[in-house]
Amino acid sequence: MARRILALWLPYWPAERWRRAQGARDLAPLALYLPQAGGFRLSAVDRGAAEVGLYPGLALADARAIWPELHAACGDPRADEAALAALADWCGRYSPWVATDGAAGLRLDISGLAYLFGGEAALAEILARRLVDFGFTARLAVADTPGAASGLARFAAAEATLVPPGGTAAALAALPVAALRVPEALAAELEPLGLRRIGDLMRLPRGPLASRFGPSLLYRLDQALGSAPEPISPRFPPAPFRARATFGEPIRDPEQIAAAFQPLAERLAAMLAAEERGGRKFHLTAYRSDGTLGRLSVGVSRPLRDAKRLGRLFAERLGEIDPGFGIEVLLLEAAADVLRAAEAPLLPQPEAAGENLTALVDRLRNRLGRGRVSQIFVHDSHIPERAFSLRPALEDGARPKTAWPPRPPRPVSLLRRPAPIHVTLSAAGGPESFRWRRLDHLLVRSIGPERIAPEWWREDAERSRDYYRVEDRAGRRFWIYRQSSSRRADAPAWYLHGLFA
Amino acid sequence: MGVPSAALLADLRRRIGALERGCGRSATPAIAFGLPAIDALLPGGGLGAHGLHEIVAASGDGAAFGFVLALFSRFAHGVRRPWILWCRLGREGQESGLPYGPGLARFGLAPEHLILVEAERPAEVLAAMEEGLRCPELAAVLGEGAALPFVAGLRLQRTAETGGVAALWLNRAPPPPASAAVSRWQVQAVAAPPEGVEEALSWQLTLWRCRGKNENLPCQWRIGWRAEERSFALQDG
Repeated sequence: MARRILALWLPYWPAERWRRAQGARDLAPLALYLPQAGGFRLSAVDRGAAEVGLYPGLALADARAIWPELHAACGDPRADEAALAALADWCGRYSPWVATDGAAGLRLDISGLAYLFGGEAALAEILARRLVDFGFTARLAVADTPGAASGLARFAAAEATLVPPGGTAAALAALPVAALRVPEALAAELEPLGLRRIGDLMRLPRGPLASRFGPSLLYRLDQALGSAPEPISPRFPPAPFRARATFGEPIRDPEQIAAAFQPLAERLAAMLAAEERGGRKFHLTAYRSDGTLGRLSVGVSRPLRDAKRLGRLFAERLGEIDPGFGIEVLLLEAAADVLRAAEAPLLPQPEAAGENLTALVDRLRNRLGRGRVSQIFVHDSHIPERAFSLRPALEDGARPKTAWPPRPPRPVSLLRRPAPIHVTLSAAGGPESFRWRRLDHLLVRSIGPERIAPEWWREDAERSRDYYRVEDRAGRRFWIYRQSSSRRADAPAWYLHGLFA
Repeated sequence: MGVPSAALLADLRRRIGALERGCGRSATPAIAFGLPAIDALLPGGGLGAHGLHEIVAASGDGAAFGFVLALFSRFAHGVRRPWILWCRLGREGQESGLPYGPGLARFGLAPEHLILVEAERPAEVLAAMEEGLRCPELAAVLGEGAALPFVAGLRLQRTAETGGVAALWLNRAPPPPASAAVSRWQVQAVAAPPEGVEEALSWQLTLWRCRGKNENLPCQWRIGWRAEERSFALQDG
């Protein structure tokens, strides 16, 4: 399939972005300025300012002198960048492969996608009209390569240029050399030699061109012509399984959204089933009519491709999507870490969690957070707190399972962090009583010490601990330990670590 | 009107039984203690699926924890489902400790069958429990926290009646007198005799209230746990 790239250039982006953010459409002409060495200089202008002869780099005072009615505001390059990224995300409704291109451009890989919108011309027109609605001046071009499309968007005479497949070289020939994204100094070097247009370069033999001007010029030329690769790195890696729904009339009702979701889930499930796959992570993106978008992600512990379960998982969270002024497009994706769906085991496994339990765990986890629903695992370590771990429940992967010897006895519960306690010692040197949470425990029994040495091969190895199993007069049993201090003069510190049943 | 048919009678019995749910007349049998002295007092002859049971931790130690694990062990074994859902606030991990894997072995429980839900707010604990009670693959659902509000207890009790999953609430604070639960227990540590085996598990168990039984309560027993047989044993105290 031939590659087709749509490039978008927003020549007055920072100024128009500022105006849209302020909600002040009638502020024109408008220029943004930034403090620079020697005073404020314009950093961006809108169309009106450009038409009266203002340009970025001009001192603010001079600009005011040229056009006293100029509206000027301080620029914010970071906000420009963030807004461009958001615009790229919004363009995800047209193509999964969207990347920003410079400070004021976007590139969409629309290979094989344009038919969804009625062809390339229709897609370009839809996109341009939406951007005009947002208040942005846009120039766009569709060509076979990212380089050519970018160059055409910036330098072609028309606001929208559609280069038919294979026509890239001819379309590029008339453009100035700067359209190849070569450094300005290089373009200035070429100009006195009569090499003003890309066509002039294409006619020259490659060898002398490379030896005179370096490899980068040829490389850019090759990229634009498609003989050198130029991938588009999307902001989000597109998911292999996607289902989208477009609404003629933007939807706002929670019921409408829920009703629209189910067919999407069914289509995605069918796609997954067709390839014998299951999804582990699902994203729902809602493209709102005002150009913003809402995202919702749901993870599951076992690969999933059941539309009903998917519907239930999303059902309780669909309300989190704020419809704003209405949702135009819903996109449901199964994200990249897609595994083969669990096949039926050869032998029935009584220990494995069934579908109901998996669904329960998934629901709780999506509501409370992944780390909040856990399973307890036992490991081979003699350090008490390393002998067990809490892991996200029911996730595939290694399941350490160690039979733990019954002796020496271990407590039924272990404090997350050992709690410091105050201990008085008997004449024999063992603990006689301790104070914990403002209660004194007079001990009638203390068994120990059981010395637990640190794991010396670990970098964070601490000092060894002496554990005692102690029982107070009421029969309450605790696990306490003494840790010698690093300084000989200091008294050893005591901690309560666990509770016996 | 003629003589009521057998089918009609059976239907009536079924409907009355449905009205009396929670009193043990249900399809899933209750899990008996295995101690006739205690089982005789309980509706259905045991702590059942189909009802909420409150356990009050009297002393700030692991006694109630151990008793609950012993019950889990009997539940899981009795209904042949290993999974247990344990719902609590995340901060309990420091207050009363995390279920410690190596220490669970003596209760005949595989640690990985405990699913621990650590919520941020008490309402989330209750919601997780309620969902758990509807999941037929679980053997038991335990909630842990401060005293259970009456209405919350009522909701859990209603949910537990319809499912087949045992519901327990481990009280970390003195409970209010009113409760919707089927029974309320208190667990206390027992001082081991000086010459006794150190690892022997025994608790002082008090039955404070029990649906359908109002006289002769509270009752007290001293019970021990025998890990090998997964059974309780009455001890004289």
